[in-house]
Amino acid sequence: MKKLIYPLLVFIFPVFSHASDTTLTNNSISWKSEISLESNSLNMDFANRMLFGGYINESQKNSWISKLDDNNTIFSEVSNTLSFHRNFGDNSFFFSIADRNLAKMSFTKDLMKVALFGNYNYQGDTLHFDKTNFTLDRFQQIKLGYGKIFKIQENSLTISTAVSYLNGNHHLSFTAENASFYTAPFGSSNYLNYDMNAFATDTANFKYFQNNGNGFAFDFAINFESKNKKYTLYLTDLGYINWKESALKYNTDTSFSFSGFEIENLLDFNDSILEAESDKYLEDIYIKARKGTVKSYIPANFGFKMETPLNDLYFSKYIVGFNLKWQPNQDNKLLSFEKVLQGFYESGYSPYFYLKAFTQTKYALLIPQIAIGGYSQKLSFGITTQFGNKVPIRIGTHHLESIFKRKESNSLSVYLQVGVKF
Amino acid sequence: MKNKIFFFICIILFSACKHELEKPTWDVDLLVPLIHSQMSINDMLSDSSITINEDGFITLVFQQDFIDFEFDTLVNIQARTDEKTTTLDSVVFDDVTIADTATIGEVINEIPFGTTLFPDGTMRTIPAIPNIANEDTINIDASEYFETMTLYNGMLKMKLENGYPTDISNVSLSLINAVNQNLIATFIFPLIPSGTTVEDSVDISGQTLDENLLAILHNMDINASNGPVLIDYSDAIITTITIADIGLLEATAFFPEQQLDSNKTEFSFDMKSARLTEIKIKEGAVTINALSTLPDTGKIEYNIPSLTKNGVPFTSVSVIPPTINGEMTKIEFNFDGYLLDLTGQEGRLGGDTVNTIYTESFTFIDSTGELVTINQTDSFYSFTDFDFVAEYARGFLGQDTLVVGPDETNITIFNKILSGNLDLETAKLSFNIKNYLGADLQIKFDQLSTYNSNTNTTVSAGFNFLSQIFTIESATEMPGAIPIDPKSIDIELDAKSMLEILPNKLKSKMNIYVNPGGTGSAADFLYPAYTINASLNLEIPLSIIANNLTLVDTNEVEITQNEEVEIEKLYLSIKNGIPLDATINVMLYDEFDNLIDTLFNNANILSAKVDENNLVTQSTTSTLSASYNNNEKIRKVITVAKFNTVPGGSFVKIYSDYKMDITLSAKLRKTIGN
Repeated sequence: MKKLIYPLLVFIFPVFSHASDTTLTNNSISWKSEISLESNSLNMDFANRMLFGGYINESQKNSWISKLDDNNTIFSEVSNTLSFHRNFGDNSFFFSIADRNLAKMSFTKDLMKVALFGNYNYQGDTLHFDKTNFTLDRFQQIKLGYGKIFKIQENSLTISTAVSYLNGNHHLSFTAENASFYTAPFGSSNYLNYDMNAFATDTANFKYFQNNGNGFAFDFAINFESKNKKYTLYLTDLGYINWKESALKYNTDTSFSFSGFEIENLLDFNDSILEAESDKYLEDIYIKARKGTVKSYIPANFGFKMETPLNDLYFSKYIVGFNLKWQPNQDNKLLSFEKVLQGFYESGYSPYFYLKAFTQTKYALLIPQIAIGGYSQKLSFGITTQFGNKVPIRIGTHHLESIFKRKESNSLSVYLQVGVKF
Repeated sequence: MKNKIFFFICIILFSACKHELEKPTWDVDLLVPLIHSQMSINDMLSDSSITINEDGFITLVFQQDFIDFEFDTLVNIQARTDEKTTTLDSVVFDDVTIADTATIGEVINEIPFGTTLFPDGTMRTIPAIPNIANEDTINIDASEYFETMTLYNGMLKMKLENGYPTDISNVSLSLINAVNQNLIATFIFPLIPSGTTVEDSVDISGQTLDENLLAILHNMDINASNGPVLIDYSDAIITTITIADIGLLEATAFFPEQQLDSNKTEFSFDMKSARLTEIKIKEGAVTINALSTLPDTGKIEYNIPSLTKNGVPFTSVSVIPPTINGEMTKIEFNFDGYLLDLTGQEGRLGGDTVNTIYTESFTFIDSTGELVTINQTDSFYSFTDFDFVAEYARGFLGQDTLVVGPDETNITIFNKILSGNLDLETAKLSFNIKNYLGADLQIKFDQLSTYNSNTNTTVSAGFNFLSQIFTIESATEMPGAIPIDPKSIDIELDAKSMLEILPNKLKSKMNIYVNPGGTGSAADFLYPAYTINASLNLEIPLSIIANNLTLVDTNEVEITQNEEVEIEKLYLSIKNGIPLDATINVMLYDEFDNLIDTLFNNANILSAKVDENNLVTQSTTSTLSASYNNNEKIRKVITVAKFNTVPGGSFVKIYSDYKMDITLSAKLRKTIGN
């Protein structure tokens, strides 16, 4: 069944776009569903195994480990958006409601080694788990935007902005800024050093649309059009969610060395001594949670693109651009240059450079794309297919290469947008 | 329209390919430390005690009690005294006296016209009147005294007192039992002058007397007066009958309260060779046992002037009821805390004696005022039992030889050693003997040897030691909770050769001579709670050469395989800071003592590094690994370890800071997601 999906995705479902192309319609309502899964190292084989179960054997583990970099990222988003766009003269109005589910995990190769193999093979080695992060967010985003076109001689400048209200449902995050684990030869001692922060919203009564936090986001774009060329500088979804006091916070910065349960006289050993000692150790390492408010950031996009018409036999125009994401793992600093750099670094997203071209065929508009960077940090090929004009249906993928690489592919994405112009 | 169809088809296909989310599973190999212990020689030899000198050098010390001698049999008293029987012949019955008065007035009244012829208060000449009495009967009532009485001894006394104004003559008188008319006695008085008294007595032994007697006056003549005499009607002849010197065979009578028996005597206790003058009684009792067949209540007054408490001697009065079915009456007196003077009666002839008490015993019949029957078989039997446990005794304890043994004392210090050789640089065996007796002692060992029952090897202490006699002086008394200042002696011998055979028994036989020199200047004393204590001490300085010295240790454990985690391998990391090489075997057993697995088989542990003085300079780490495959419940872990000192052939000293750092870790296989 999976083999059937890929061709269908390619040929029937086109186009995944980072920014909605509002020039498609003056007044329009559209629905967009997108699923994406990207990683700079792990492949679909890993994703399939994690999602759909089965026994992971040693060769599989070795295969996955061999593909890992020192720092690895997995990002996934499942979102559904209903949007409305209206142009009236030089002004435009934009409204959307989106349901968004984001998951991001950053980890080191050493962490995956320990998770898959255990520590037996790493005696005498110190395994590093610095910058380990795991974040899950679920929220609804209600966006309200406005744009205005300014005529400057023969050129036009469009400034648009939007604000979003974020209804936070659930948040789960774990961050270990510095962590390491050492296993002495023959297991004579284990040493764990970690500085950890973890947050979790109240899961006592789990509901999909539970309000556990409120937040805001901000969009801003400048579009300059001159001599048929369009230059756009944009910032989208710069925002955060404040999670309520019922969220649980765990903070600890400690090291833990274990050389075995201490026995006074080995010649008097019995099981009950172990039980008593283990209770004491569990008390020592027990991390006490406290309730409090937590702030988390949603991934913001910052980028630039240039659209240029082509007098080509095959392509009518092309767009070239780059995109950056900003998403710090935790709110541990005031807004500063360091904070800005932290957000770019911790997003796990490499600068994404892309080039896409537009070609109109008899039945559909095809938009092929070539890109490099993003979460996968690799060269990727995408294709978008649009059917119809008044009721355009766009389906596409950002990672066409996943069809050929199949299980070896690092990424999977699919996008469907249906709109109505009026 | 086409767009809508395509869209609809895609949605269906997407939904159709929906998979159920499931958890993946995989195995991980974990290496974790389980237990850690730092052990010194002290921990390994936890069954024994050690001493550590200022250099940290360890000496193994084994101590246990050697003898526990009891002396209380010497001074405990269990004896029976004052055994006696009192019979009826001891009963005393008072003389019975009955009197009868016959006035002249009564006689004159009997004579026709007597009162006219001889009026009262006149002077008349009385003529001779023969046969004035002729078989006259006089009732004699003795019921006030007895009902019947059979005598084995007795005298009947007749006394006539003539109060008439004229002589009487030819008085013939008989006494008979009123009931059976048996003649008891006859009296004849030829002449009784006026104003005189005549007496006669008859032996009535063997006679039975009734309470009612008849006196028959066979004849009495009144002689003529010598001229006119005063006629006083109150003048009378008084007849007095007395039964005296009564010795009863049987009698039904009113017995007076009287003493049956009296016994003041000294009694000597058998103290063997001891000559004691005083015993303080810790706990004890005197029991008076009495059996009385007398129908009336008896009484025993029992005094022991030799037994005092706070200076007050013991006295007692006990009522002894008549026996029922031959049962004895027991009366017990508690004498806890009393002081028993064993020097005999105070002021006795010949001066104070020893081992002797003085007692006084008096037996009584208590008169109840009832008529009771006593016969010659009735008796009063009594004896006194003494049962004392002494708190202390003073005097001379005697010259005695106490034999201790032959005994076998278990030596457990080498219990865990199976085999091998152990050379000791030195070893000392000593006996600490404390003398709490107030008497000199001499001690000689007839036998002292160590024995290894596994190798059947014996080593004796040697002739030089066995021929020695050790003297311990007498202890002294002092105030305090323990009122004795003991004297002690330490008897030491070089036990190197005796202990190198790794013995499990010490065989001994010892003679203790009490007062070998006879009596001393001060009195001996004995507190049974504190006599002679002896302890055995073994001191083994841990300067040793071990050659394949094999020890075994058994640990009772309860280890079950955890179902969530599989143990694949065990690692034993030993950082050895003790100068001993070891080869170990560790076996695992189930609850039925079946061997489950051999964890380590002849695994070597390297000795610590030593310098030219055989002092440890550096620890050595050895890591042993063993596969672990069992699902059984482990109940016992037996470790057999063979040790060799390093360097071989030289004595190696073991110090308290020598330690062995042991870590047990395991390779675990766990399935994630299961």
